[in-house]
Amino acid sequence: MLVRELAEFDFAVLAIAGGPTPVLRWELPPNARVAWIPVWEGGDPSLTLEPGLAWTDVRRRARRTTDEEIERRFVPPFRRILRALRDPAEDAGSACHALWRFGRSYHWKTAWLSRPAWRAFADDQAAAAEESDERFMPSVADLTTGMQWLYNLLLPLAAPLPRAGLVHATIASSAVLPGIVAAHEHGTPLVVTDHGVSIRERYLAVSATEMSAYGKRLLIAVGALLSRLAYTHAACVAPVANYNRRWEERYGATPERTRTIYNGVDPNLFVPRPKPESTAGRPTVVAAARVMPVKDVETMIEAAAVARREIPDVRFLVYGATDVDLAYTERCRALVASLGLEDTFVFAGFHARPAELYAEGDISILSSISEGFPYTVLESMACGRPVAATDVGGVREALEGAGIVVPPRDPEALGQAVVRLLREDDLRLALGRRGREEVLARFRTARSVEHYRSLYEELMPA
Amino acid sequence: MSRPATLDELAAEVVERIGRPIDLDAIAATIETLGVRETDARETFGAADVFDLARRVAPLADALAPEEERDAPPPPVVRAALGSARFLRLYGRGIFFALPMIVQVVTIALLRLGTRIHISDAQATAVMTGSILSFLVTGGFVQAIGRLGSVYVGRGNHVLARRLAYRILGLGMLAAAALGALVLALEQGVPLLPGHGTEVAAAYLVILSGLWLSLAVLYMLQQRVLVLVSVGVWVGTFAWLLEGPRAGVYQAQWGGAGAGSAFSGLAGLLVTWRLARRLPAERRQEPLPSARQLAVEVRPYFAYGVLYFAIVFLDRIVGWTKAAPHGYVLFFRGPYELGLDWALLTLLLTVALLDYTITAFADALGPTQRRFAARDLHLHNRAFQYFYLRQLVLLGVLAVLSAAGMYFGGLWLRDAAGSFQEVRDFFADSTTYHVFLWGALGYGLLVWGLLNAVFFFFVSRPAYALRPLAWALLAGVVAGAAASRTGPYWQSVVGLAAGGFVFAAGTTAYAIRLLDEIDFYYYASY
Repeated sequence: MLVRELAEFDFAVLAIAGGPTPVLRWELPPNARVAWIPVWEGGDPSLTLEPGLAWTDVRRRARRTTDEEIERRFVPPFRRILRALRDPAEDAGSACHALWRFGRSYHWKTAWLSRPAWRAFADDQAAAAEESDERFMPSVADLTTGMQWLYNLLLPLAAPLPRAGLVHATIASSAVLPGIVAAHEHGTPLVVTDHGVSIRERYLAVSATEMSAYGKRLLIAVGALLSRLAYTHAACVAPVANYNRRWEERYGATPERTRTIYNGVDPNLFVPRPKPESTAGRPTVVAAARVMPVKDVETMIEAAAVARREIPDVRFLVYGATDVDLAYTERCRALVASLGLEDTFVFAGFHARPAELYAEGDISILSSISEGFPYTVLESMACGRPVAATDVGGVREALEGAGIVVPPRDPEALGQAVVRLLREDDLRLALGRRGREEVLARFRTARSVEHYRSLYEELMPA
Repeated sequence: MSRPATLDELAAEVVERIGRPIDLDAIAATIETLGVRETDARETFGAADVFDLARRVAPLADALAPEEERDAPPPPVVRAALGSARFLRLYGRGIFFALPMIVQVVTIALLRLGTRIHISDAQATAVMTGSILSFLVTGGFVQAIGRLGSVYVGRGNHVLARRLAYRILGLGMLAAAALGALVLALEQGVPLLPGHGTEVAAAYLVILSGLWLSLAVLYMLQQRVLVLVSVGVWVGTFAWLLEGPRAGVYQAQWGGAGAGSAFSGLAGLLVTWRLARRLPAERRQEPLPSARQLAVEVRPYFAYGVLYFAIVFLDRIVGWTKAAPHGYVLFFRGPYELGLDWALLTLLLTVALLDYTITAFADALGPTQRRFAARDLHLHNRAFQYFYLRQLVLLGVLAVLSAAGMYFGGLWLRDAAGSFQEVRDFFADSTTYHVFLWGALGYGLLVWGLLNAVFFFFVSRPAYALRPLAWALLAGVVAGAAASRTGPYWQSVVGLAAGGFVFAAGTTAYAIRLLDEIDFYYYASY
């Protein structure tokens, strides 16, 4: 969206891809070109990241990358990065820059798969574990996997850097590495947008896995390092909600370098519409949510039971995939059955036209226990449908005065909010109008784009 | 589902979700997903914020969390490496998996024998020349199919595996056709083979190349039963053409090989088509990496494939080029070929060990790596050195048993079935015995080298096999030429033994080095 709307800027998009052979899903506007960085691909990055590099140059780089050169030029910055995984005071930015410079003249994969690099890593990790807790002592398998993770996560350092007036990273993860290098190499300003908070999401994703304590700690440490690099190097950290700032400041962002830029929706696409015939005669609550634990659909179901006590013909329509977490979906279905809500609570599945789904209800609902700055709230507001929502993430920032926020995991409060919005027509209509006005005033796509335009112009050298 | 209202409840929920927390921020992040906000941290729990609340929860969570399970400590290394029941199970599986290859080898030997019974040495020269050239020209492509195609089979992308395998197959066929055309063109200037031998050799070259390449696709797909069936189609069609329509030997062999390759080629297409249907639509559109990238990746394996067959056939070429009659470049010698075919059968027991070794090694790697702590890398590596030593001892025992069994089995057959003309012919010439003994030694040494190569390929170090193979080829040619030019022609078989020795010795030196640092080499195979 940003690339298309900011047509006066040229974009060199460095796309971090998971698979080895990515497929572009969108048509590129003429002001953009894409270079892929397939971080989980096992091939030679000299070939995948630099397709224009002559074969003779690749060979020359490989020949030059001897163990002695690796010891001299690769291992010292690599060791600094390893130390930075434990010690936030270590200057990892210049170490990343040194590694990137190494990759410009030497063969990246040869160095990473070399004996000196492996020994440096194995010795460092074993020694660090000896000084720490036996719980974090890696097994040989942990070491093998750990070094491979580092290789993958730092792979953007092997990519050539397009000369740019500004680098914009859209997540504080590996994607930020080209920005760190550009800052050191050319003094290029860096903007970091975090839609969620990547380190917090890393904690949540990694903590719940079955991997070893060492593996978890290493992955989290890498995530923390990348977040620190992003927030400390950024000329501007641009979270999508003020709520994100707590974590960002904890990892190095400062208030004076942080500027919240809210997401926006298209108010010409999401417009108030009358209810269709299918739901016209019945009080209807709509949710756009995939059925998964973080959306706390169980609380929504219990809130539906609360609402039905007072409004017997109320209906909840939940639009969203039901196959994300099948066990959880089954639990939710069982809860619906046990509360006798089969006619009240409907899992309606995927909706092909999101701009129309809000019109099916009188209001919408969000029961999540964790959110960033959810689009579903903005879309509902744009459609003139007030929202009964849990007070999580940036929801309150969007919804203040345009809906009712209640504490999370409180079905009684959420159910009562639904009842109030459905029963009090004046309130519902007023909040609906207010929501639409708020979107027009603060949460339009065009406004969001305009903020980025101003930021780019402000930071970019003339 | 209600929100936790006390620190104990909070700690219990945190532990339920993430087990023992890695650090305070792991607790803070989890607390937030439990619906605890900054305002709750302050008002319900009396903490300054969520991070402060995490600090308070941490000791409670630590007390509640169960101890993390670690893999059991390593057992005594020698005992771990010598589990006889495990060996028998895996070796038995190795024999089963090696069966298609062994059947293939025996079939080649039998077909050669059958061919010789019906045709002259001059004609056999053409057949063998075509056969040898087919192995040489396809060896690299067969390796390429196995190496590159298996990557996509492993990733479950049978669309790309099929596309890649059949492109390489096509390239292999082009190379075979080009070599055939070259041989025919050369024949115009220099008389290479007797009679119409060059045309016959060119036909064998192309037809057999198709068979080797299409069988390689089935190997790539690990469809060993289909390999067996393909060999059955090949042999069955040959026999039927010979006995039914009374086709000539050449035509019967071409028809058999053609039918075998058509069957295996179609079977490969069918299998990949069936497996590819499971692939999600978006993955079907994935493109292959660039040709340059693929070429770089496969280059050493391609060279290995070519060199391997070069060393297998070098002694024949050296021997047959000595004093070829009628001014031809080379001439087939029956007793020599019989000796080598006899020696080839000694591979029956030893080759199965290779499959067992790779399976046992792969199976042992993960658990062994998990059991040794990073501080004990040297013990970890020693475990694999013991494993290797055991494989060597096993190979030695099997090679001796196999060679002795084949030799004395042959002598028994000669005495017990001497009334059959074919058996009498087989053992009629003393050259056959000499060649068998040297050949068995050479093949045994080659398998030793191949056993080492199993480890090299597993950790993506093909150069460790390639360099000794190149030296072995040189040593084989020099020794074979010296022996055959200073004595009878059959002494070229010394070249096979010398090449085998250099290959075994060179790869063993690399294997010792590699296993001494297997922790590094395994990582570096990434």
